[in-house]
Amino acid sequence: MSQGYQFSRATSYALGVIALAGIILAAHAGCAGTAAIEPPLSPPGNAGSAHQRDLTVFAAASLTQAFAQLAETFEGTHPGVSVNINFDGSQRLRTQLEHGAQADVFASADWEQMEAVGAAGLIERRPVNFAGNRLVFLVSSSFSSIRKGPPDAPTYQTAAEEKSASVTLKDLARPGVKIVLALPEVPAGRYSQVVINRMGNSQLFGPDYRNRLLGNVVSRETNVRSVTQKVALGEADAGIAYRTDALAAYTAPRIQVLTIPDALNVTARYPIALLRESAQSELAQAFIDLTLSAEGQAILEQYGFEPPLPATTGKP
Amino acid sequence: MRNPFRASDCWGPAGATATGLYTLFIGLPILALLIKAAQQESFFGSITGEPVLLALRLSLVTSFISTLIVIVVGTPFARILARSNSWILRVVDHLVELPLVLPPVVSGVAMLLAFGRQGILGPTLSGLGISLPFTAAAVIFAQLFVAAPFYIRSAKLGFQSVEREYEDISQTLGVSPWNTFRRLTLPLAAPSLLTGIALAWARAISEFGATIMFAGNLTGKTQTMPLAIMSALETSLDTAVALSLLLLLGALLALIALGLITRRRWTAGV
Repeated sequence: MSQGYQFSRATSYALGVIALAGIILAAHAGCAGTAAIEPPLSPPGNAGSAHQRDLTVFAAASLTQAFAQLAETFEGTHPGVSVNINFDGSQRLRTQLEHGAQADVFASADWEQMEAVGAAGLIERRPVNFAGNRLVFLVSSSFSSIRKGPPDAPTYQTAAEEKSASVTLKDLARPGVKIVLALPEVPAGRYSQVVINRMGNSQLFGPDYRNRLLGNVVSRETNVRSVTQKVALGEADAGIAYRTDALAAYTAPRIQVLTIPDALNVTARYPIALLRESAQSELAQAFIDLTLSAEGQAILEQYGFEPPLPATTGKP
Repeated sequence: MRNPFRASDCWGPAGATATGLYTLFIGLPILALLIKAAQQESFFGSITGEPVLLALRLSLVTSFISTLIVIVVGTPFARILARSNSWILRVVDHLVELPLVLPPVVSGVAMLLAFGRQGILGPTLSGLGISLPFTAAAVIFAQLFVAAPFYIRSAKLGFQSVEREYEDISQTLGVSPWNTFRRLTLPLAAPSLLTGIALAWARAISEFGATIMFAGNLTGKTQTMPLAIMSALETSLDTAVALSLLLLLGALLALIALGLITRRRWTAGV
């Protein structure tokens, strides 16, 4: 018995030692392997080793397509640089930055989030306005086809007939219409709220319209892309998003756009800033400069963004 | 009191090391939550707001209903899976576990494609005047989809652990199949069933990805606790932490209660 006891005790220690050794070896081998096989990944900002540099950009979800192309352009003119973009609702990017996320550039869909990041002491230079955007109502194609007329209405023969019978903003306040908005904390959600309030205060729509519209809201999404997605899928009937979202390749054929009268609309202002944590501020500034350059502005325009206001009136 | 890491157990030191590492790994993030919560002044203010109470109620009600459905449908299903040799059921057996591998957001998309208004069953459902997305029913659907495999898997193993001979003997003694199941199989499989219930319920109440995809996020209607936590996170980490602790505490209480029931069952059964 005693023999067995000794043996099992020895075995257990051996197992423990082997397990620990295994862990250490694995960890060590991991490091050694990386060093031997791959070229050393320079930490962001280590400008000395010019092999491969990573530029990290935090950008509002609504910038997804435009910034993906800007990144491509930037990589083309800066060999060895790889631009990594984290797209999400600006408010979430802000939270990530406030809690120590490492990034070089922050592009927000509104000034509120940018100022919060600035208030936390995370911004190196004064943010600049690089683009503008407008809000629109997106209506799902399936909703348009259902609501075109009374159920027994004749099918429409010509495009003109169809157009004249299409949905209007007033239809969205009818009972049972499913509307999705972004959360009020999301820039797009906050802008939507402003637009809806303005509609409520206007002669054209009125407070009753606003209340019924808000009563039709079935979901509050965490970023504007989720709003577009639910409308494009036809699960929601309508939603408020940016004009640029309506132009996105997947969305465009699946939705109808209802424009909001200019007097009631909001112009979203997009600021961009160099972050203090950036260890490669020159490269980051070059990316910011690209967004402001004629080339960058052309790309942004191509995706439906408006030019920024003159610098002095950058903040609404 | 005996030492849990006594040396006669050949896994002693290795076990102790592993336990320490694992406890630290799980414990530290939870401790961090507690510390963060303790630092804030408005802790109770955060967890007593109306949206929070609505979310808590919705979470409790939906997770209770989905767990109930899982038990009612899952028990006979698991029982058949445990005893059948048919190849069809063996294929089904593997399919049951698919939701475990699917990322929950994908599960949500899949549910939209099946039960959504534009989904496969969409026209049928709308013909009946039913529209599932953005309703509490959708919340339950999402929970069922992701939580059911936990119970079914556990219950199947529980039923398999009951020797078939016991059941045969019981029936040769003239006990009806139903009574055999109720008085022999069920008590013997009870620990596995209860574990399965606890796992399924825990998964249901923490469900997030499929819910936000399929049911949306609206206070009082489809906003469960995890969604409320996520929404709170958009404005204040403090509120989010407070809500997380509330959820954690509730889940802990429920699991402890279940553990006590299990223990009593166990000792009564032996």
